[in-house]
Amino acid sequence: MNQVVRALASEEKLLNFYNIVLFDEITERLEMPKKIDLLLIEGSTVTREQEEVVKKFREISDFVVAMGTCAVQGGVQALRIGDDIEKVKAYVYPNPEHIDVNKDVKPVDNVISVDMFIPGCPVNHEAIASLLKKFVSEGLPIAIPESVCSECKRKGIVCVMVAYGIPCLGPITISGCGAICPSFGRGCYGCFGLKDFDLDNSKLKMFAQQLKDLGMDNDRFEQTVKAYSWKTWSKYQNVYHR
Amino acid sequence: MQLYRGGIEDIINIYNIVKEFLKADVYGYKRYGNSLVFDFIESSSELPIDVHVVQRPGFYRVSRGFGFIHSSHSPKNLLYPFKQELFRVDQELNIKTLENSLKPVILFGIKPCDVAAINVFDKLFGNNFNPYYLNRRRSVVGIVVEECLNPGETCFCSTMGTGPDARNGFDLAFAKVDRDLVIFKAGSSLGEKIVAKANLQKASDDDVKRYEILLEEAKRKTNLGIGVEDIQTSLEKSITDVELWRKVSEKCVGCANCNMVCPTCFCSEIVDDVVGDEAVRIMQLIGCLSYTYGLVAGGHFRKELYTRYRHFILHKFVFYPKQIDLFGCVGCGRCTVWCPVGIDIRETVKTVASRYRG
Repeated sequence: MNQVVRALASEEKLLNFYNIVLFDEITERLEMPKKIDLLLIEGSTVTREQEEVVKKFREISDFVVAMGTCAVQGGVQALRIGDDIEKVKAYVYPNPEHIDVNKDVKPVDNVISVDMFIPGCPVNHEAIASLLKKFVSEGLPIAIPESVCSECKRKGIVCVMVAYGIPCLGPITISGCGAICPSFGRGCYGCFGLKDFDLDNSKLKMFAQQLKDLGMDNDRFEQTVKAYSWKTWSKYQNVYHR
Repeated sequence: MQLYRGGIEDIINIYNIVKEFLKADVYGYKRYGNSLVFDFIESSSELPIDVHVVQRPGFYRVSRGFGFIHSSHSPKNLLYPFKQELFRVDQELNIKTLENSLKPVILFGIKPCDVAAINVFDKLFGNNFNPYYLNRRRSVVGIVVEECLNPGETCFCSTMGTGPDARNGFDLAFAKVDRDLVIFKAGSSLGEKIVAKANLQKASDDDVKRYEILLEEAKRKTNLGIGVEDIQTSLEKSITDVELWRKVSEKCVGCANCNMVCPTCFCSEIVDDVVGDEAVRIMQLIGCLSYTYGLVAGGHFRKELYTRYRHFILHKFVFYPKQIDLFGCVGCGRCTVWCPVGIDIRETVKTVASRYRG
C-alpha cells in the first residue's frame, strides 16, 4: 500500500488522471461505486465474506490487478495450510472461538478472474507506477518474466551464491524486485514467488540440495517457498522429497 | 616479437603512463568490496595486482595472491551495456536520440579471451553498423592485455584459440612470471611508444625461457583435449537428440546467469517506458535461457528449457561461425563459474562429442 502511494506520488501529473473511489487508508469510506476502471486487490481471501466482496468488485470492475504476493500466491498465511486450523488459531489468539476463518487460503485468481498479476512482498512501486501511467495512455506494461539473477547482473552486483557461498533463491525466483536483497549482500528469499515456468520437481529438488550444501536446510527452504509461493509451490509439493 | 622485462611496479607505472599519455579513462578489473568487477579504475591502488581467484563450476573466491583471472563482468558491460536508452519520443512525435559515446577509454589488464570477445562484437555489430556499439567502440584508444600464465580451472581458451597469450587486437601485453619478473610485449606502434616511455629493458634469454615454460603449461591446462571442429560437427549431429539435451541440462533452472556473464552474449529485449511527457525506448540484455526468450505474440517457440540450453550451446559453436566466421565461445569459462548449480560447458561439449564424434 505504501508502494501504491509512492507510485502515485512519483509523478506530479499522475494523480490528475485518477479518481480514487475506494482506498480505505487514504480516502474516507464512500458508498460502493457503480463502476471501477482499475481495481488493485491486495491480500488473499481467507473468509467466505472476503470471497463475496471480491466477487462483487469483479462485477463492477473493468480491469482487475492482483497486487502483491498474498494476492498472487497466497502469502505467509498459507503456512497454515496442511495444519489443523483450530490448533493454528489457538497458537495465535487467546479466544480462538471468535475467529471465523477458512482453513485454506485463496490467492485472488482462485476466486475471480484476474487481468494482471504484480507479485512482490512488498510490490515494486516502479511496477505500479508503470501500470498507472500506461493504463491511462491505453496501453499496458509487458512483463518480462525471468529470474532475479538477471536483475543482479544488470545492477553490477556480484553473485552472492557463487562468490560468497550465501544460499540464495534468486535463480528460481521471478524478477521484478530489482534484486534488493543481493544488493545488500544477502541471499534472495523469494518474496516475488517461485517461477511458474521452467521448474519441475527434480530441478527444485536439485536446487534445494545446492542450498542445503550452502547451509539452508530443507525445512527452511520448504517453509520459505510455502510462505511466498504457495500457489506455485502447491503444484510441486506432492512429489517433492517425500 | 621482441619481449621486454620489468617488475610489478612497471605495471603500475604503465597504468599511469597510458592514463596521462592518452588522456583517457581507464577501465578494467578492479577490487570492489570482497570481490572484483569490471569498471572505471580511478587509481592504481584498485588494480587487482595482489589478488588470487579460485574458480570452479559454481564457485568463485577471491584471496590474496598472484593468479587473478577475471570477474563475472567483462568489457562487454562497457561496450554493450546491460541497459541502453535508445531514444525518446515527445508528444509532438519528435525523436531525440541520445549521445552515447564515451570519453576516450583505455582497456587495462583485460584478458586475451576478452579481446577475442571484442573481436566477435566488432564483427557482429561492425558488419551491421550498429551505431550504439560503434560509438562506444570507437572511443577505445588503447588496449593493454594481461596474459594468463596462471589460468583458471574452468578456462579452455587454448582449445578455442583465444589465449592464454595475447595474439592480436592489443597495443601492449604483459605477463606476470613472478613478482620480480613481468614480461611485456608491444602489439602496435602505440605499444612500442609505451614501452619506450616506460624505459623497459629487453628480456634476457633466461627471462624468455621462464616465460615460455609457464606459457606452455598454461596452454596445456586450458586445452580440453578435443578440437573445436570435432565439437562443432558433433553438436550439429546432436540437434535432434532430445534425450541427450534433456540430460545435459537437467540441473538448469533457466536463471540465465550464463548469458549475463558471457562476454559475447548480446540478445536484447526492447522495453518502452513513460517518463514525464516522453516515451523512452530502452534496450536491455536478456538471456536465451530466460523463459521470455522465444515467447512471442501467439505462442512460444522454445517453451521447454532444454531447447533453450541447446540453443545457447549451438549458437556459440555452430551458428556464430555461420554468421561471422568466428566461434561465439572464447573459452573464458565464465558461464561455468557463475552458474549457481555449476553446469559445466566443458562437460556438455565433451558429452556430446563422445557420443557423436567420428
